[in-house]
Amino acid sequence: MEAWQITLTIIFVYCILMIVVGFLSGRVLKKSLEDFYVLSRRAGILVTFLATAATYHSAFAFLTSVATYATTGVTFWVASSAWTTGAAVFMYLAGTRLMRLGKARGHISPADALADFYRSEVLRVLVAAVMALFVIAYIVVQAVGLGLIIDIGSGGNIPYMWGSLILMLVTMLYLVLGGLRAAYWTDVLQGVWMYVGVFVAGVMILQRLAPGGVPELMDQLRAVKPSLLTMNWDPLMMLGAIMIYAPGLMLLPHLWIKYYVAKDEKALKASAVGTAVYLSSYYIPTALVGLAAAVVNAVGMPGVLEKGFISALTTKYGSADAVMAVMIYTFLNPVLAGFLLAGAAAAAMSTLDSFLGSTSLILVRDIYQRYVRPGKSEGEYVMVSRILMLVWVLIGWYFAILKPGLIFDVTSIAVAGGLQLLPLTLQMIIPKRKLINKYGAITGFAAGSIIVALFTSQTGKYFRMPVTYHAAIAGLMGLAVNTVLALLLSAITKTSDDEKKVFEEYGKLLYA
Amino acid sequence: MSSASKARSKESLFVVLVLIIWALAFGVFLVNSPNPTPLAGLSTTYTYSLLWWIVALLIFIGYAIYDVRRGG
Repeated sequence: MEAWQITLTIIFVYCILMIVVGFLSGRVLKKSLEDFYVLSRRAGILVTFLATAATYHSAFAFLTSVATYATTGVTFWVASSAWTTGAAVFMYLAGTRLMRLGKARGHISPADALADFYRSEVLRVLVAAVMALFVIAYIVVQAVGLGLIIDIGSGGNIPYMWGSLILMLVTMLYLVLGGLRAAYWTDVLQGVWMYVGVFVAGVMILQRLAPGGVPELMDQLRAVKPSLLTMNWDPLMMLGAIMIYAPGLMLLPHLWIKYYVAKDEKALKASAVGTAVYLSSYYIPTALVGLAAAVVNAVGMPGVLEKGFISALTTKYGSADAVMAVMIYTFLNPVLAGFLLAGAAAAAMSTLDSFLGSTSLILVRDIYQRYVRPGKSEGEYVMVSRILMLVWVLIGWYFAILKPGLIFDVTSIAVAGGLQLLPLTLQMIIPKRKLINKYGAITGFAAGSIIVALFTSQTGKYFRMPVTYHAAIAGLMGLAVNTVLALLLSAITKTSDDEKKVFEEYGKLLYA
Repeated sequence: MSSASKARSKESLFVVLVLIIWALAFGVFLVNSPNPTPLAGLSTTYTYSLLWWIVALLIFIGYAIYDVRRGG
């Protein structure tokens, strides 16, 4: 067997394993939305922790972190260590409150919770629709990642385009077989696989390229490109990145619904601590690979990798995201490469499944079930959610074929959108003084989301707007306008008695 | 002061601590240099950020243990 055939066989064996797990979890699936989406709120620490951590870390963590280390150096560590730990702290503080409210009032989606608190069906539809649109960016980057993994893992024998579609359909298949229960089960397996895999990759590639360990790698880098050992973003960019990837990402529906999965607050809090360690330490081995790649890129390795190979990858794939897969495929034996690239696929698939599941949840529960065909059987809603998953797979795949750019940049659009839920959510989980009512919430959220779309380069170009240099900045701008408008509108409009009554009930639930 | 309000005030103190710690993450701009430190030859930037991360993580873990033990 040729090397690529060995690598590819292992990746496909992994895929079959995921489908089997999906099938098995489907056999114990009850046909109710609550079980389909939030495991009947009975998950223990291990499932809650690994499902959250594996969902948070996606193709982004395995692929684009290495690409960003290779091109911007330790900048990525400086910012990501702050945002990953911050995300876990946010989960600890806000997640437990959302969970308590969700259990008491039956929420299983962000739109559910916000519509209930602000007593507004307009807000329900707005949040559901806007989140479903922002989530497309996230689905696209998983499709990109999966395409790169198969293209490189097959030595180019299965092109990016078809590799992406195959692995997306595998993800959808196990999700259809077992609902989000399958996603939770596979997340546990994928969470372990991708974590072990990334450390093995980091250590082995370091041994191969810098036998003297980290000090040798640092010396090599200092000799060829010392700027990669410093922080290369400005403070505003760092603030924006922390805000969109800590609260912003943790407010997106696929992670928000994880707060409803845990069986009790203790399980959720313990999971948050585990999540902090898992998420942040994950970027230690990817730093080793990324910085080693930067050295190889600067000096070249005759007969192995050419000097400037990252530019060649960027030309071929539209971004530097293929660096990790190329490093694994080039420097490790085919069996190990197969296992590690399967770990990379696990990272992408474990996020993709949650996105497909949570997006279909939003659209079915918050729109279809309420406004299109209310009062139908749970079986019909589950079937519609499966059709929607296929639609989102095809949309994500279509945009992935267009090679939209660096995964980091595309992901940032989605999480900048998620950040716009922050003012509304803070008012809901801190019901001490009513500062934002439904008019303020709707106006602020709509304005913030529009600003993100208009001032982010990838989407703003369609509106011919003077865009910001990164979605993180657009996210901050949106948040500022969102907050000011929400407070202003709330100050000049009347809060209904119903809204005031629910506000008091939330206060009792959280502060009694 | 009831136990519920005590818990709330400790949570508020933790939130303030979190804001201070995360503000300190930006201290990296004051020591931004590729010069090596005794810590495995990492640059000053990398070393500061690594130490910041360890401190932040330890404080979070410490608070969580304290909070969960007192039934929070």
